[in-house]
Formats: sequence, structure tokens, C-alpha cells
Amino acid sequence: MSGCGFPAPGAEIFQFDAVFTFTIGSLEFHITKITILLFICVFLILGFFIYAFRKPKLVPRGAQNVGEMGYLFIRDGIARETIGKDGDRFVPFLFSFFFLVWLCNFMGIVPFAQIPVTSAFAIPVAFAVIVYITWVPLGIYSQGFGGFFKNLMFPPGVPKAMYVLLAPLELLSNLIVRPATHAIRLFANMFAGHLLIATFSVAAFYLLSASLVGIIGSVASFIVAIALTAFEALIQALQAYIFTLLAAVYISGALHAEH
Amino acid sequence: MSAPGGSWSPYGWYRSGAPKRTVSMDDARRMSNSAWANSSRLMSGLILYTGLGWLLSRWFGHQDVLMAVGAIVGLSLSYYLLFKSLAHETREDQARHDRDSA
Repeated sequence: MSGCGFPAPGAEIFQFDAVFTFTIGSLEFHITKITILLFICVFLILGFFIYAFRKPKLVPRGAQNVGEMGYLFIRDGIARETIGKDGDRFVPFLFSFFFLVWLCNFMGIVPFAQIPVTSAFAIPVAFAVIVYITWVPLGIYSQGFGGFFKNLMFPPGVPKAMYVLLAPLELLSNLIVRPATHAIRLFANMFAGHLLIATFSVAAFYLLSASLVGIIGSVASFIVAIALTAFEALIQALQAYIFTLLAAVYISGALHAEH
Repeated sequence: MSAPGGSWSPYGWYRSGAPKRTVSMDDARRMSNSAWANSSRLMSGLILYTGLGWLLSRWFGHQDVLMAVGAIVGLSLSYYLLFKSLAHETREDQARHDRDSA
């Protein structure tokens, strides 16, 4: 790199050395910071909701109140609105996903954690695959194999002759592009957000020197980093919501034929 | 096509003066599904037919123009599908509304 020598953070800030490794059979497991944070997220969510609903009262207070608010938000805001009257069956699924994805994203702005778990591409892919292997069998089960693929390949309202060109397009769109973008959308948002925060934080240190330009540059970068952190807090919740909403949209599409 | 409470049109319901229309749960479900489906259709047409053009161009000895043609055809088909399916949804919407208000 030529120029000023600013150590711009790149993809390497998402690479972590293994804390420890172990081998089962021929599979080698590398436990990194990301893995540990993922486990912490899972246990925090389990812990919170088990605590919140340990002795449910008719008039909720404290943690139970927060838990019920979260539950109602998912049930009324996502499940019933997107899936319809069958939506209640899928509330536990969507509820788990929303809070897990949110907490995983939130790790990006937690001091010392400071990496969104979902910025490791494997994690959103795993989440999206779980959603995928939920709605595809569900669609085949509820619409029948022929009906499900007919629904996936032949969009209504198009002249019959055009199906030759459009059916492969629609199949690719429904079976590959939609699930792929489901994972990529979450990953890319978290990756880019973390990179932005890291860049401005590094700049705040790098520009710091005992000169007017140094102080102004450093303080400005620091303020931008703080502002971006607040912005990320918004994006994290939003992306968790969108991920859950899309999971609900796919389940809805599997349950209801378009016409 | 006039419904009680003024003539109803699927266009411009968001404008001031347009008759108030409540969005039912089923409407919301259909709308969110179609919004997400259409954004991925745009991408799929481009990917599929550009890929097809690339394969053809390899077959015919690297005539890269085929890939460009594929991209244009793919995007056109995507837009065609988008317009057709949105038009269909609008017609369905209108028919459903007429049925409900009849």
C-alpha cells in the first residue's frame, strides 16, 4: 500500500485465531471468539426467557412483562400479519429467530465482544438453511409435491407461452435467489456496519497527534464512530426484524397457494 | 366499479382525498409476499439469462456479445414478469373488493 500508511481495516478484522481446537473423527473444530459469542448469545436468551417465564403471573411484572411484549410483537406484528390465522403455530420458531439474530447482531456494539456474530458468513447461512429446510418440506406437505412446484414455477397472470422463458426464472428466484439473499442481506449489513465502525475507530487513534489537524481529525472520527454505533444499534434490530419477517413470508408462501 | 363511499381505485389510495381503505390481514400478507418476491425476480432474470448467454458464448467460441444480449433479455423478462404479476394482483384485488362490497 502506498500513501500515508493508514492501516485501513479490511476483511482480516473478521478473522480470529482459534482459542482451542479439538478433533472428532476426521473433523477438526476450531473454537474462535465468534463461536464463543454465539454460545453466549444462546445461553443469554435461554436464561432470560426461562427466568422471565419461570412463574408466570396473570398480571405480568418485570422480566415477564418484557418477555410478553417481545412475544406479542412477534405474534401480532410478524406471525399473524404475514402468515395469517395459521401464524400462531410458527410463533415459537420466529420468536427464537428474532431474539437470537438480534442478540448476535448486538454483539457488534457490546464492549469487548465488539464483533457481530452474524458478520461471519457461516452463521447467517446456517440460519437461512434452517428456515429453508423448514418451508420447503412444509410447502410440499401442505400443497402436495406437484402443487408446490406449480406454485413456485408458474406465476399467475402471464400468457401460457411465456412460461417457457419465465418458469426457470421463477424457480431460480424462489428456490435459490430468495434463500441466498436471505442470508446475504443479514451478513452484508452486519459486515459493512462493523467495518465502518472499525475504520472510524482506527482513524481516531491514527490521526491523534499534538497538532490542530490531528486533534480535529481525531475528535471528528471519534464522534462519527459514536454516531455510527448508535446507527448500528438501529440497523441490528432492523435486520433481525427483516430476517424474521422474511422467514415468515417464506412460511406463508409455503402454506398458502397464490390463487 | 363504484363502491359505497366513493369510487374505489387500486391506484392512489395513499393520496389525500382517496377513500379510506382498511388493509385486512390477508391484504398485508399478500402485499409483503409480493414485494419480496418481485425484488428477487429482478435479480433472478439477470442471473439466469446472463449465465445462459455466457454458456452460449463459450459454446460459439467466446463471442461475448451473447452474454450482453443475455443480460438484456434477462432483465427485460424480469420486468415483464414483474409488470404482469403486479397487474394480475391488482385485478385480483379489485375483484376481491367488488365481491366484498357487493
